[in-house]
Amino acid sequence: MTGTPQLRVIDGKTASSRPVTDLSGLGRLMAEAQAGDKRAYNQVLKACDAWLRVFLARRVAPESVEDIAQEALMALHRKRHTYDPDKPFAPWFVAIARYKWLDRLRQHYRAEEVELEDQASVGGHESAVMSRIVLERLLAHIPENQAQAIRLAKIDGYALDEIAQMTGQSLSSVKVRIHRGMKRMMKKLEESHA
Amino acid sequence: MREHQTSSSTQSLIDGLTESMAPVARRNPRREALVLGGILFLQLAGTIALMGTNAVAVFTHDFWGSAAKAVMFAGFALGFALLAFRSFDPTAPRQKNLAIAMAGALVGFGVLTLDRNFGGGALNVLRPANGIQCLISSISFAIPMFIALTVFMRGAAPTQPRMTALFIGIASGAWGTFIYALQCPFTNIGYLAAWYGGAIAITTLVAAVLLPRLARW
Repeated sequence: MTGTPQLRVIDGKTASSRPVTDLSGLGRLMAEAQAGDKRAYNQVLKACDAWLRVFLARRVAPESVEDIAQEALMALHRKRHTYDPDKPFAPWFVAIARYKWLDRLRQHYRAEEVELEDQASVGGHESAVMSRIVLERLLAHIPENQAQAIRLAKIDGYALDEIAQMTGQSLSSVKVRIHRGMKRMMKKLEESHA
Repeated sequence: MREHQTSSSTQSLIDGLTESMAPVARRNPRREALVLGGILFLQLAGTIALMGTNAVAVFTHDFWGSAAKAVMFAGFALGFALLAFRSFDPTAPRQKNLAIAMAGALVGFGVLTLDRNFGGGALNVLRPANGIQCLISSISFAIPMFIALTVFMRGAAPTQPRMTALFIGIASGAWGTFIYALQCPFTNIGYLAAWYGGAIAITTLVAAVLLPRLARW
C-alpha cells in the first residue's frame, strides 16, 4: 500500500467507465491523522476531495459540487474522532458524504416549498442541487402525474400557472403534486444506496 | 490515471483544516455503553432503595401482571437504546423495520399478558388522578437516560438523525415508565396505554423536535 492515494480507473460494463477515487488505502492514514499527523491528514483530505468530485458530479448540478464537497470535508473534520481504524475507511466516509449530499437536498426542497407557497414559479430549469440524471432516475419511481408536474417545472422550466394551464389542473393541485412528488423522491433517495 | 484539480478555495479549506487539526480521542462505544449502564443501575438501585417495601408490595399484589409490565417496558428501553447506539455509527444500516418488529413483538407480548378487563367504565380504567402522577413521574425518571444518550449522540456521527432521535425518545421514555412501574400497582392495558404510552409519546416528541438540531454536524 502506498502512502499517497491515487485515482483509479475501474473497468467493466456494470461499473461506470469513468475514473473514481480509491479510498481503500486511507484507513491507516486516517488513524495517523487522529494521532496528530498533519501530513497524513492532508493526504486524506486531498484524496477525499478527489473522490467527492467524482461522487457529486453524477448527483448534483455542477455549480453545487464545490459547496457540497467542502461541507463534506468539514464534516469529516468535525467527526474524525468517530472513525474506527479497525474498520474500513471508505464506508465511513461515503456515509458522511452521502449524508451531507442528502442534507443539502433536504434544505433545498424546504426552501422550494416556501417558494411554492409564495410564488407562481419554482424557479427555472433543473434543481440547483440535483443533477438531471438523478432527477430523471427518481421520476421513474413516483406516480406519473407527480412526475409530469416536476418534469415541467424542474426540467422544462415552466411557471406553475403555465403548468396548470397545460395539464388542466388547478394551481393548488399542481403545487400539491410537486410537493408530494418531491417528498417521495427524497424518501426514495434516503432509502437507496445511491 | 487522471490528475485531480482541487480548486483554490477547497485547497485553502484543506490547508486550514490540516493546520487546525489536533490529535483526537477516538469515540469508544463500549465505554459509552458502560457509562450508560452505570447511570441506569444507580438510578434503579436508588429508586428501589427509596421505595423500600413498595416495590415488593407491587409484585406481591399481582406478580404476573407486574412482571409482564416490567419486562415489556424494560424490553422497550433496552431494545431501543441498543438501536440508538447502533444508529450513532454512520455506516449503520437502516433499522426502521427492526424497530417496528421489536415494538410489535413487545406490544403483542403486553396484549397477551396484561389485564384486558375494560369493565367499570373509562374513569375506572384510566384513573386520571393516578395517571397524571404516573405520567409526570415517568417523564422525570426518563431524564437521565435522555441526557446520557443525547450527549453520546452529539459525540457520534448519526447519519439518520431523525431516526436516532426517535430511538432515544422511545428508549428513555420506556426506561422512565419501567422505573415507575416498580411502584405502580396498575396493570390494566388501557391504563398503561394511556399514561405509560403517553409518557413515551411525550419524550419521543421532545426528542424528535430537539435532537436533530443537536446532532452537531
